[in-house]
Order: sequence, then structure tokens, then C-alpha cells
Amino acid sequence: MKKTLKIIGISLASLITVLIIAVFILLWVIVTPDKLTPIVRNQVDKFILCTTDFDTVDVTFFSTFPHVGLQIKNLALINPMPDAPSDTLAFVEDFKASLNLKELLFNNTLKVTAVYIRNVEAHLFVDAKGNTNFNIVEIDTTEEDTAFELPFDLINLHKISIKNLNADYTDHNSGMFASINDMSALIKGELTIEDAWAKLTMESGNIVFNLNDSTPLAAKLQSFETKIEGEKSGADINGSIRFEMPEVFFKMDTIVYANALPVEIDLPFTFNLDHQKVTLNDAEIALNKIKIFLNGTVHPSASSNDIGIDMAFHTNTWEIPEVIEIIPETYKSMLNDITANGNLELKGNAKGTYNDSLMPIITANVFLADGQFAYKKFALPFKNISADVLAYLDLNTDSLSMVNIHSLKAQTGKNTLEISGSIIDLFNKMLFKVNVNSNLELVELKPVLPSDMNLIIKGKAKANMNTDFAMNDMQNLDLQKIKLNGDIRLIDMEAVYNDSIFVNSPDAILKISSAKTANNKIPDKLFDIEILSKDMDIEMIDVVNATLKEVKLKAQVSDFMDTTKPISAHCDFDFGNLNADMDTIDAAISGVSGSLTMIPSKKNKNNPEIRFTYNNKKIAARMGNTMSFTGDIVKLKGKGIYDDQEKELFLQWSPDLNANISNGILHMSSLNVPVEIPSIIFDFTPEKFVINESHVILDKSSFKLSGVITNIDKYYRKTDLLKANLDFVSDNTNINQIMDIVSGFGTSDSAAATDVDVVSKEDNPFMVPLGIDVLLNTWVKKATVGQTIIENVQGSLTVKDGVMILEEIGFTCEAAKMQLTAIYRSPRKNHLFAGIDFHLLDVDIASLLKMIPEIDTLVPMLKSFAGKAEFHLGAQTNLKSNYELKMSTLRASAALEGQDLVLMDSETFSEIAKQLVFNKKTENIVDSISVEMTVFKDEIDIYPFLIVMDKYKAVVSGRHNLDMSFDYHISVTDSPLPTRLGLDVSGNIQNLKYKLVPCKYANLYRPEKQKAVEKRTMELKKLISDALKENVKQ
Amino acid sequence: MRKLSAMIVSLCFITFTLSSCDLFNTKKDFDKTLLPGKWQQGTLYERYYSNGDGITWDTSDDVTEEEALPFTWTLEEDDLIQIHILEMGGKVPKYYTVTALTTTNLTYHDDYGKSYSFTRVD
Repeated sequence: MKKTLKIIGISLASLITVLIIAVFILLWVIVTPDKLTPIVRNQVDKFILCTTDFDTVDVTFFSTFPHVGLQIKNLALINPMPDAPSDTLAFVEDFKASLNLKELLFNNTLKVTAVYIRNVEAHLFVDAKGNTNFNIVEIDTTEEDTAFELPFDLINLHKISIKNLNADYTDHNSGMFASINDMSALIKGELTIEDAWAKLTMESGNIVFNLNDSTPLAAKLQSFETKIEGEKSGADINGSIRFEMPEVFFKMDTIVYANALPVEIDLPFTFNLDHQKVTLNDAEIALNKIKIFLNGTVHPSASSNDIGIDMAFHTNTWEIPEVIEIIPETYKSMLNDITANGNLELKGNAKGTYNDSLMPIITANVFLADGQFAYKKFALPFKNISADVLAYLDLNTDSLSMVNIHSLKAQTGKNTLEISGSIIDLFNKMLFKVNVNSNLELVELKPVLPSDMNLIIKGKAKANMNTDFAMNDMQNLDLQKIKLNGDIRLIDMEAVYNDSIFVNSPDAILKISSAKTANNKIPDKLFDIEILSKDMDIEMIDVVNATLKEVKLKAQVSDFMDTTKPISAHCDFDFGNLNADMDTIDAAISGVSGSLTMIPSKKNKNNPEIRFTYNNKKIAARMGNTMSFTGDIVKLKGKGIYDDQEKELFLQWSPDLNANISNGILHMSSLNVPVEIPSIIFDFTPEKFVINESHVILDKSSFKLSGVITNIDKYYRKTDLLKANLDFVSDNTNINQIMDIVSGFGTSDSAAATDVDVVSKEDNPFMVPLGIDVLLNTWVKKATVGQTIIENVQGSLTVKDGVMILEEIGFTCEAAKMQLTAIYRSPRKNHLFAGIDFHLLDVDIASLLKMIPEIDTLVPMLKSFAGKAEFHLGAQTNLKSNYELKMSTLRASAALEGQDLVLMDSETFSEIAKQLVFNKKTENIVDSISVEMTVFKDEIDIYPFLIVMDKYKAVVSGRHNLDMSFDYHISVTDSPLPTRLGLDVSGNIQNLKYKLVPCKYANLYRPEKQKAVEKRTMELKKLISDALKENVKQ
Repeated sequence: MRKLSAMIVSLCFITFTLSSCDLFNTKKDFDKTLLPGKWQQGTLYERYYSNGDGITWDTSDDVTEEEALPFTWTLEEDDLIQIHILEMGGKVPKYYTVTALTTTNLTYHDDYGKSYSFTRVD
């Protein structure tokens, strides 16, 4: 056995030795480089146009076993061109081709089965005109249809090995430069009629690509590895393509899209030759840690440029910081203020046709979990962000692209936010239809409020809002185009604004709607706002403190962001109860309802017009200790139109007001009695104030006031007097109380200021209103003036520009029928004026003295008479602020006429009768009496008057002063006695002195004997009497 | 007796003659042109105008000249009559007897012995 093996071994060794010897003989004896090189050079020169050089051409056997190889050493293609980086097109240090020896020897054909290239330098160049240095292959141009053919058949090429290839490409025509360094590649393959397989393994050093075009491009791969395998099996080619690029640099224009970015692409595929369809199975594209997995088909059409794509994709879990990391720096800088974290996943597919005009439709689900987001300019960081979003991207029709937000949740502090909805027309208008649900801790919203907004707010808010808007409209805050519907529930809300406004509510609901409704109260309504609260406290320091119960507010507002026109707003309010205090005013109102509307004025749209209605069921209001008001129903309706051309507040607004007040009671500290107002109904406009009905009860006074007041606007413009024509109808009126109420209206401060030195602080005289012209037609059935009761007072009271005139008031009292005209002026507090024209046409003297005791001062002897008389009085005086008479201004004249009066017996009369030897009777009848008297300062002058009594005639005259000192004279001009006696009566009323003197007026009432003095006396008497009687109303 | 009769007749004649000639009339005739002007007695002022109007005021009652009260006046011989006119239509006549009227002084009194003495102030 050993011997057999030994023989076989020796035989094989001998055979191999023979073969080696044979090969050596062939290589070094028959096919020597010296013989082969000229042959190859001759062949190369036939189809290579540029200068070609190489050292030797040799034949290899062992290195290309089992084929023989043709090896060329230091092959150089020299093709110099101007501007070319090198005159060498290519230099191959070692080129080896494996040849089919049989075909070469017996068929004289060159069939290359493998190529080996080592240490290659290549410099491809295109000049600015498009001329290249690599167009070096001879082409037979005589036969135009003859295609270029390599001198060997590629189908026989099973292996290509390249090691250390360094090449560059410079194209001055297109501005392109590309280079590759240290590239090694191994390509193996085999193609038969039935099957084929191929493998490519390539790795290189730097790969550089630059394009200096209108949009410059620069790309660089620090190293590059690829492995491509394919194997044909029937109609399918199964294979894989893998690229590994550890550091990718890519720059377009000025933007660096990738810098040292690791990129790996692994594409397992199946290519069906019959259907020309590529199927990817779990293909993976990785950008650093960002991975995308692809499963699907790509189906290029054989008849067109269409490529059918049906590709599902999903990703690994992306850490958002890693995603941000691969964002180009240019864009990353925009995110400098943003901190984001979370896990992101995409899952979807791309389906459709891709060609020059079409893109497949992409559907992608985006899942975000454990997200965090913070923006430096937004004080609240978000956490626990999760999202489930479906994106539908139709790049062919932008309007169809949309995003469905199934769920987007976020939390910031104790606030939660949940958003759902959709964004349609994603790449164009971006129409948002979003629902926002949130639970907010209001105190945590403070950081997001403007820094200059001094607002502290506490409590919770639950919001459920639906919005519908376009992104562009939101960016422009075009509220007209933003639809907003929803409600916010505020719980335990405590808001403090500017340390001066406090709003508290344990539970309030705010509803907002931008839906268009038919019931628009303003023409350009933007939002309907409704506020519901069972309990709300509002405090504005130094202004108002209010508690509202059962609050219902419905408001409409216009676009308040539109600064080109004023805001329009309407508010319907309904409060169950309202308790408010303002400074010293506090009010408790129940059943408050009404509306407030503010719209642009028709006259000038920049000015507002305000309309309002107000109703309450019960009201109780108090102003400190000075005034209080309670009432039942108050109905107000009015409007005001602002006019910025006016200066006075009243004229700026020109308010209209319709009021209906019932069962009101007004208490004023200045009045001892309440003012009851059973009803007031009036219509007020700047031009006309119509009091349709007003019933006022003032203690025992009860009156109704109605009529018209005009010129209110002109009064404010100071172009005319305020005019009024009012009817004052009363069953019972206490005039003093009414004067107290209206005292001081319209008195200017300057008029009061002039009297500061002489007016006591306590004095508060009645000041007649200035600038008004009021006619008050009175019908008072029963009036109380002082202690006097007068009835059926009919006449007019005129108040005109600081003067009050009681004009020819006729009335009756128990003493007489009377006629009174009176004037009261108040030009200044310490210089009042009062004047009267007073006529008692059928006066009972005793009652007259009781009614007006002051008459006794004027005519002391009047109390000595009884019966009816006629009395006329004109008087005037100025008054001090305390109504004290200014005696130097006191003027009066009076006339008393009577007949058949009874001269009352008295101690004084008895003494006079005794002195003048009168015949006293039980009842002394005075046939007639006509007395004229004047008052000048403190002097009361009784002009001589005649008393006819029985057989006696006496003339009485004299003076007494207001201190009741007397200086009287009585002349008995007719008596049964033969002589005419005179009597002087002087002294004071308690101590009168009587002195018989000569008769002073013997001829006063004898016209034929009158002298000049007596005539003058009678003329003055007539002057006084006539002047007084001129004003008597017939 | 004849002498006595003659004396009585003479006495009657003289009496009648003197009486007819108003020889006992002692009234003075003052120049009314001296009256217009502003006169003052303490705090009491009167201003007479040449057209027969006048005004009076008393500053002790906080009354200014602008607030003075009007009257009309006549001066015949020594009879000065002021008629004070009430706004409401009444009239208050005051009769005085002038005892002195110069460019600087005015003195008058009424029938009840109340006298006034003014000094011209302008």
C-alpha cells in the first residue's frame, strides 16, 4: 500500500515538474516580453488615439491560474490639454488581464475573463468648450451605424479587481469636480443563458464631489464601502445593496445639510425581470441613529417614465435630540431657544405613481411619547407630551394633504392640554380644525402673560374650545376669519389686576362662539360671549365694590384687533342680585337686567354710539348719610352718540333717556322727610325733556309735575337759556320744603366765592338757578307757606336766569282773596333780593294780622279795627345770606281802604277819645278809611288819612320806626265841639304820651282851602295808591 | 276912638298887605345844579344825576354802587323830594327840606326831625 502511494506521489510530482518546466519554457523562451510587447503596442495603437506608453507586456500563468494573463506594467495614457490638471490621462502601474488561451491561440480572439488593476492614477478633464481628454478610443466613423465595441467581450469577464485607484474628474464646462482616493473594488460575476450572479465589493478613501453652478453643491465621503450582490434565479434577481458611509458631508448653496453624518443603506431586493419590478424587503436607511425601514415595490413602467411605488415604511424609535442633531446647522440655529425631547416613531406608506409630474401619496402615522418641550421665550415648559397623528401627504394636490391629530396631549406644571382635530390643505392654507381640552391652574399662567400686565390670577380653568382657522389668518390675528367655539369653566377664580381690580368667582362659565347667527345685535359681530356665574365679586379700588349673584351676561364683540375702526359690542346682562358700593354710595339691586350696545356712530364711524336698557325689580341705594333711595321697578332706555368735536361731557354724548320709575323713596339728610316717588315717566333728549308723568310725595306735600323742558343743549353751549314749561298740580304742597330741595342749583362757584368774607359758613340761602327760563304753571289745592294755609293757588312761577318770579298767583285763604306777585333774586349769597306785590282784595283784618303778623309792624293801629278791608302792598329789600334784612335797602308802600269798620275799644283808643272829647259808644263804626303808608329803611310814614266816625272826622298821620317808637298827630277836623283840636301821640307802645296841640290838618280834606303843602301831601298819597293798584288783576 | 279905628284899619291893612306879599315866607331857593354828584355821609352814599335820577346805597349793608337803589328827585326852592321806585311798581316818596347846598356840602331834614349831612366825594 505504501509502495502504491509512493509510486502515485512520485508520478504526480514528476508530472507537475514537467508542467512547470513546460510553462517556464513557454514564458521565458517562447512568449517573452520582448516578443509580446511590440505585438500589444501595435494593437493598442490601433484604437487608442492618445499617446500610450508602457514598459513591458508580459504573460502570466501562476497569478492568473488557470488562465494565462496579459500583464502590462506602467501603462500611461498621455493626452495633454490646456488647463488640464495633468497631461496624464491615466497611469496604471500594473494592469493584468486574464485571457482565454485557447481562444487566443486557436481562434486568434481576445477573450478576457478577469482584469486586475493596481495603483491607478487617472485625471479626467473637460475644458470650458466641452473637449475632453478621455475621448481617446478610435471610432470608425465611416460606418455610422456601427456601434462601438470593446476589443473583448464583457460577458466573459468574471472578475475585475481594482486596488488603489486614485482618480479625479474636472469639468470646466459644467463646473464639476469629483475625485476618489484609494479605491479598491472587487467585482465578480457570471452570466449564463439560464442564470447569472454578480458581487461587488468596493471601499475607498475620500470621495469628493463639487459643482460650482448657480446652486453650488459640495459632497464628501470620508470613506465609502459598498457591497452589492445579485443572483438571477429564473425571472427574479435577488440581491442586496449595502452602502456604508461613516462620514458624509453635503452642502448645497451655503447650507450644510450633513457634516460627518454616518449613513448606512441596506437594500435587500428582488428584481423581477418579467415585470420590471423591484421589491424591497426590510430595507434599511440609517442616518446616524435615525433608521427608516422600507418594505414594498418599485415598478418602473416599460412604456413610460412612470414608476409605480407601493412602499411601506416605519422607523425605529427616534430620540428627538438625535433628530435635531442631524438637522442642518442653519436650521438648527432656529431651534437654539428650543429644548425638545421624546420618542418619535413614524409608520406609513408611499403609494402611487412617480414621474416628472406625479408623486406618490404618502400616509404616515406619527407617534410621540414621553415628549418634553421648552421654549426660552415661552415661560412654561411642556412635559409628558404624547401624540398620535396621521399625516396624509398628496404632493400632487396640496389641498388634499392633511394631518389628522388623533390625540396630542401635553402637561405643563399642573396644567394639562389635549388637542385633537385636523389640519387640511397642509402645504398651502393649512386649515386647522382643532379641539382643545385643557385643565389649567391659572396661577401657573402668570409667566406667559405680558410682563407689563400686572395680573395675578388663581383658580382652575377647564376649557373646551373648538377652533377653525387658516394658519395665515392666525399669524395675522385676523379674528374675522378665525372661528372659535367653546367654553371655559373657571373654578375658585381670584384675579387681581394692577393691584386695583379684583374679580372673584367660585364658579363661572365663559362661553365663546364665533358662529354666525341671525340674532346679531351689532353689524360686524365677531364673537358671542356668554358668562354665567352664580356668584361673582368685583372690586375696583376707589371705584366700585360689587357682588353679583346669578350672573348671566351675553355679549357680542366685533374685531377688537382691527385698529382701523372702533370696537362694536353688545351685552345683555341679567343679575339676580347686585350689591355694590362706590365710595360713599352703596346699592342693593335685585332682578337687574338690560343691555348695553356700543357701535360706531353713523355720523362719524370713529366715534362710538352707546345704547342701553336697564330694568330692575327692586333697588335700595344709599349715598353716605346724605341720601338714600329705594324703589320698585326702574326701567331705563337710552342712547348716547359721542362727538369728539364737543368739549362738554354732556354735549359729547348728547344722551337720550327714557325712564320709568315707580314706588321710589328718596331720603336726603337735608330734608326731614322722605321724598316718595310713586311714579316718574320721562323722555329726555338734548333738545327736549318731556316729563310725561311724575308724582312726588314730600311729607304732606303731594304733587305731580309734567311738561316740557327745552334748549338743554343750548343751555350747555351757553347760547340760550334752559327753557321749561311745566305744570305743577298738587293736592297739598309745602313750599318751604320744595325750595330747600332745589336751592343752589346752577349757582356758580365764582358767585359764591365773592362772599367768603361776609357769608357765614352755616348760611345756605336759596340760590335761584342761573341760565334757565322755567315757567311753572301751578294749581295747588292746598299749600302751606310758613304757618299759613292757602288754597286754590293758581298762577305761574317763573325762574329765569337767576330770578324767580311768582307771577300773579291767585289764591284764597281764610283771611282774604289774594293776589301775589313776588320776585326773588340771588345774584350773590350775601345780596339776595326779595320783592312782592301783594293785594288782599277782601281781607278780614283780624285774620290778616294772624296770617301776616308783620303787618302789625307796618300799621300798628290796624289791630284797632275790625271788619273787611282792601289792602295793597308793594315791598322790596335786599337780604343777607341769613335772610336778615339789609335795612338800608328796605322799601315799601301800602294802601289800606276800608268801610264800615269797627273801631275796637282799647286803652289807647280810650285815652285818645278822652283827650279829644270823643263820644265813645259800645261799638264805634268807622264809615270809611283810606290809609297810605311807606317804609323807607326803618322809617314807617303814615300819610294823613281821614277817619269818619259818626259826627267826627279826624285826620291821622305820623311816623313810627321799626323799634316801635311813635310820633303821631291826630287832627279832629269835625266834631260837635266849637273848636278843632289836635293831639300828638308819641313814645312807645308801652308808654305813649299824649299832648293837645293845634289842629294840623284842618283843611287837608277841604280841597278849596288846601294850600301847597296840603296839595303836595294829597298828591303823594295818590301817587302811592295809584302805583300800588296798577298791578291789581281784574 | 278915631285913632283906635285908624290903628286897627292900618294894622289890618299891613297884615293883609304883608300876607299878600308873602313877606313871612322864609323858604330858601337852592341852586339845583349843585346837587348832581356823589355825596357821602359815613357809609351812606347818594348820587344825583342831572336828569332827575339818582341812586343810593349803604356800604355798611354790603351794598356796592353797582347794586344801588334808584330814585327820582326834584328840588324846588328848599323842597327836595325823592321818589324811590320799587321794582314791582310801588313808589315811596320822601320829602325833605334842604338847609344847605354848596359845592361840597348837602344838608337836609324831614318833618320828623331826621337830618342828613353829606359831603361831596367827587
